[in-house]
Amino acid sequence: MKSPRLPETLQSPPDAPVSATYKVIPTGCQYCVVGCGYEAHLWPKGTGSDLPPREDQGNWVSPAMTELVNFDGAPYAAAVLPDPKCPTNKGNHSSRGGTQGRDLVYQSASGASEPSAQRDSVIERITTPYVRTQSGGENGFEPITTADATQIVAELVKLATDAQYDAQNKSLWFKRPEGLGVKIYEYQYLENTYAATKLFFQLIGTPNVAYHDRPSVASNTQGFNDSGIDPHGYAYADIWSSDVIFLAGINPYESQSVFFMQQMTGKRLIVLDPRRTITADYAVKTGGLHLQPNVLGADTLVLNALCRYIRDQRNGKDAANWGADRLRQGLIADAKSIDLARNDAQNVDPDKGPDFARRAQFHLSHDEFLGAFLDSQPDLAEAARISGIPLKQLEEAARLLSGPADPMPPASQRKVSLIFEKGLIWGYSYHSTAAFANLGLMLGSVMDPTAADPQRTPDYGVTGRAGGHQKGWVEVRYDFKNALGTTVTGAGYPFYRATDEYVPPSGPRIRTHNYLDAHLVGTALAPRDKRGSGPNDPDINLLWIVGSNAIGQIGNAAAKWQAVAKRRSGSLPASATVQEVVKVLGERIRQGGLVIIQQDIYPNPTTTQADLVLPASGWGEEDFVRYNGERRLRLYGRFQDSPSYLRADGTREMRCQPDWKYFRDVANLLLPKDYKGHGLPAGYSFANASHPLAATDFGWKSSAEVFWELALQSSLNQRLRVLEDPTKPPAGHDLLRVRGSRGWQIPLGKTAGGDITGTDRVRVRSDLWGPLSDKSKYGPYAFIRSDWNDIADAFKANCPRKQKHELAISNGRINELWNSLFTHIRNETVRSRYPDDMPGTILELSSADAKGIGVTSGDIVEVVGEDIYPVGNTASFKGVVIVQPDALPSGVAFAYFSYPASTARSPKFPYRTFTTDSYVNNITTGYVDPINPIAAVKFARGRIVPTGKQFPLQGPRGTLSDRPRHIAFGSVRVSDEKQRATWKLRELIVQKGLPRVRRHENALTEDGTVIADFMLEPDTYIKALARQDAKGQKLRDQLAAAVSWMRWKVNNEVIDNWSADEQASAITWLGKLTDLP
Amino acid sequence: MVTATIPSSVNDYVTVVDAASGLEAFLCRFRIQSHLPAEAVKVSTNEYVVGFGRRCTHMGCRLVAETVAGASQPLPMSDGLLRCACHASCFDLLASGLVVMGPATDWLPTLQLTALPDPKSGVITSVRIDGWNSAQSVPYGIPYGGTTAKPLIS
Repeated sequence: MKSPRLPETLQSPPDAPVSATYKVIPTGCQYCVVGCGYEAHLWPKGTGSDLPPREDQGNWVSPAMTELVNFDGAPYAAAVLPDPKCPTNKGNHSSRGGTQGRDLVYQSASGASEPSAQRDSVIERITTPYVRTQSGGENGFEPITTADATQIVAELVKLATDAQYDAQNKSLWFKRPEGLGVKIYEYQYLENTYAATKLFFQLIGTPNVAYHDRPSVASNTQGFNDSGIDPHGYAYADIWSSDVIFLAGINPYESQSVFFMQQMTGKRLIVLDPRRTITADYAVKTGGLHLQPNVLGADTLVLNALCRYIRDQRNGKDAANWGADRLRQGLIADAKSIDLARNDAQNVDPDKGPDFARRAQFHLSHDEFLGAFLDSQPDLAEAARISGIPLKQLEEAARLLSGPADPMPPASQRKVSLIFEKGLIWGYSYHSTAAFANLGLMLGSVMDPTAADPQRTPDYGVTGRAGGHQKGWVEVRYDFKNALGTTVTGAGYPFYRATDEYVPPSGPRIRTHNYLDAHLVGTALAPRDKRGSGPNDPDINLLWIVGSNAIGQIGNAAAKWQAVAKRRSGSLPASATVQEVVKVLGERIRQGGLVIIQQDIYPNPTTTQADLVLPASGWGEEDFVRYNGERRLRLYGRFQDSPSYLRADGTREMRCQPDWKYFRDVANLLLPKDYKGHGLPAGYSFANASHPLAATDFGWKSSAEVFWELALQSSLNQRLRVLEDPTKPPAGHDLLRVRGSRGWQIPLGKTAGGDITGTDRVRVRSDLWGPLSDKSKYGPYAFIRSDWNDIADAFKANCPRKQKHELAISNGRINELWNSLFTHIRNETVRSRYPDDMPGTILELSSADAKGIGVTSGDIVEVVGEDIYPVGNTASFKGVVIVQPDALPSGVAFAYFSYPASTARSPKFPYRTFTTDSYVNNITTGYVDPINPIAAVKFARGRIVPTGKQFPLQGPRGTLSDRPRHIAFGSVRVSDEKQRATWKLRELIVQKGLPRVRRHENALTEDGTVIADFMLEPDTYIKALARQDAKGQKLRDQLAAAVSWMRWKVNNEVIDNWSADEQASAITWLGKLTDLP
Repeated sequence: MVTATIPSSVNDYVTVVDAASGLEAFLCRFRIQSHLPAEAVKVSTNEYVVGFGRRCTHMGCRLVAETVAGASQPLPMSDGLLRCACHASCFDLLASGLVVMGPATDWLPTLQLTALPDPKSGVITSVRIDGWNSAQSVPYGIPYGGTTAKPLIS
């Protein structure tokens, strides 16, 4: 199959690009954490207008960026284009962002079968609530009205939580809030998550809530956070100005593409990853390193060993060359403070949450870490032996990070930045992320709050994570007093209701966020670690899944979802009336069974277990706010209507609504209008500042009003308050709208003149850590006890067994497939490369393993996991083999994560027969970190069983490529520094798009053509520049003029979109170019 | 219509311009024994010519350098894979320009070609360029929905 068809309805002639009806609406990419800025260009359908003019970034609009939409009921042509004005992407885009036109929604008002309205992205949208009944005509489902659906949800919530109404006192009390479980996205906009937490945390008080991608609402990076480094505290410009970047458990070329392309290329990269990714290949070919373990989960071991090795070198005879001064002791919490905190932690009220007690357990002083702790950790040779990474490579990595490494700058001046992601996070999470922070502290790659200007780029670089999704989570904040008299301020998650605990070897037990899976299916199938504690029997009777494919994203999934299906078994409603549905499903709840509500924009495999389905509105269908990986807060403007429901009589009705409206409406149904509020457990009371919620507290009429409320109570980490005035109507959305895709980096501030300001860099507010008696000397940073010995047993239990012919089965995401693929399985561009009828996920194998097993690309296999830790069960998943020579070490396979194979199509809801047998996480370990409930879903082991069947790589439904994905450049190898200077300059030109900033063309005048050539053919241009003839001289003269122009621009005005660091670096490198031979 | 001399050797290319659109392209000569791309034109036993757009479908960087008229050059590819020097998008020239990796959104557009055998010898040394296979992909530089190119930098 060739690339997807063109939307023919857009083939209108060019010439009148901008008119009064032409709209440009700022938005952001709906996908990864980088959050590139986009603009939605809309012009009335059929008016003969041109495509949007690309004045400053080339002039091509990809077919995949365009489609028809409905906007305020009228048909428009639309193009979603990367915004050159956005500092994040400067007009660049990934394959995800560049194909968002395929995700747009268009319904034909006339009922004509226009191709744009017949796409899967449109016809598979959920447009009405459904309830599963005994004889539902839509594959078991029956459509119902929004009012009925909301009423059913409210009634089921009441039953599951045992809501008690006190008519005399006009109050409400949820006797059993844990009966309601919630699985909800962390990223789909502040307005939705604020409304959700206000309902689930403050009003109902359920502790059984988990994000879409993990089994709790705990931070993904708690071990890292406890060091005092904010994982998203750095600015992207810091990465760009680094000499060395250490990347652990991350493949940014594929998963944070524009971040890699704009900021990381041209640097010396060290990549720690079991798979030879394109990022790793790039690193090796540009003078960096690929540290390639042949086991999964040895990150803590390797990171600790690197710290130990660097410590030893700094204490050795070559100490002067190992950058000992990078580690500033004064920035690390002192022993006295930590001792005081440990003492105080004995008596901390667990209703306040686990942070204080956990930090006291794991914080180490400078001396403790560098002394006894590192002494207790395996050395570099042992780390090499266990991980399979050659010792020489580990030593070379240590040199690049902190030692003599010609021709790098001396270690004492080198800018080294460290970025990690899911390879560590979804492993032995607390320890791995803590070990990464320790290495960052060892290298001094952190902000120095004692510096004269803490907001400038740190001299030694930065440490942080890249992120997977954007940041759309904000919790309601309220204050209460408990039975012990403790006042808890700014509470969000209701720790006072949580039941799960971490049991440390010594000291008091630490209450944690609840581990949702255990509360959903019980500890027989979701056991806690031996250091974890909590109830064994499931206590969730109503699971509300919001914007998440719960089946595809948990560990040891197959066994758990069989248990879910069993808990759901029982009668179905005979009809779809509110009374019948509540009666039958309510009885299931009363009997201890389980009812599932799904709220989403598309059906997914979770729909196979849903009793009730609610249609949501998504990206571009409502004004929403969220921020990206460098905390850039922006409004994602509304530029299209949600799809409407086609009733039997042929008329249409809008039944989709944004998630916050469902939460509002259910809250209003739970709280009768005349009720004064709701109660807390006996002995608890709300403090003055936050009264018990009444129905009037859920009175928002627009997302702007929700934003107004959340901004006014936002935390110090966000400080959105400056966008709103408590005495005035909402203004925040409009302020952000004007700011466009540039936004502001939070936390926000305000100048004396009233101008809103952003913050380039932040760190965790460790001044609030304690000790309780004296907070002044604590931190700002602390080392963390990331003891390999704590997790060595789990590591061994998850390793493949040779005698059983098992491989280590890793997993991850790839460039063009995002999250649960909720849009991408319906996106025509993606489907041209990943055919609909794929029978399983893709399983990459090394040539040696493929040969040993006797399979080749296209073979369909079953991967069987036995003795899945710690349950000991057996499960499997299906895969299509793609042999990737040289990409994987023998003994390690790689599967695409969360790939939802589907079998048959149906014209009726849910439009596909979803299967769940393609998920690699059917066999991933059930290990969940007891310190902070995050699942180790990166790890599995399995035996590969050929089925004897083959999937055609080039079939009628698409072309599945088995070509190597990991080759960064053909035969190019940038090995010496002279080449590197050229290379870095080339990257500069490519990354910054310097010659293509057409708004400066008046300054460029006749040099414009030459510079454009440089952009388009940088290598050819650089080569020509070196020619010792008239042409070479002419090019050099022209470039010198361009450099002068750059200098003039920098000296005379701020270049749009360029930070001061970028400007300075541009001058440096452009200057170097003129010195090339 | 424009005629163009085809590359003289397997795995060579020549750069050409489509007269109608004014857009740059390159003709590649391959030895293909299976999975014959629909756009391939047979020029010899097991040898085919395919024409692709010369600009990366990501941001328009040129994928191959200009060739001197009449002289073909080896393709800067390995195993049929051509990588853009700007952002490493990788195209499979043996699979109709499929994007194997990278930020490019669209497959490489292909040219409609007609082989022009020598009337006497029957040997094919040139092809006629009949335009773009624009029903399936749009070459970089044509404003979407239009038919002629705008200069990249005007």
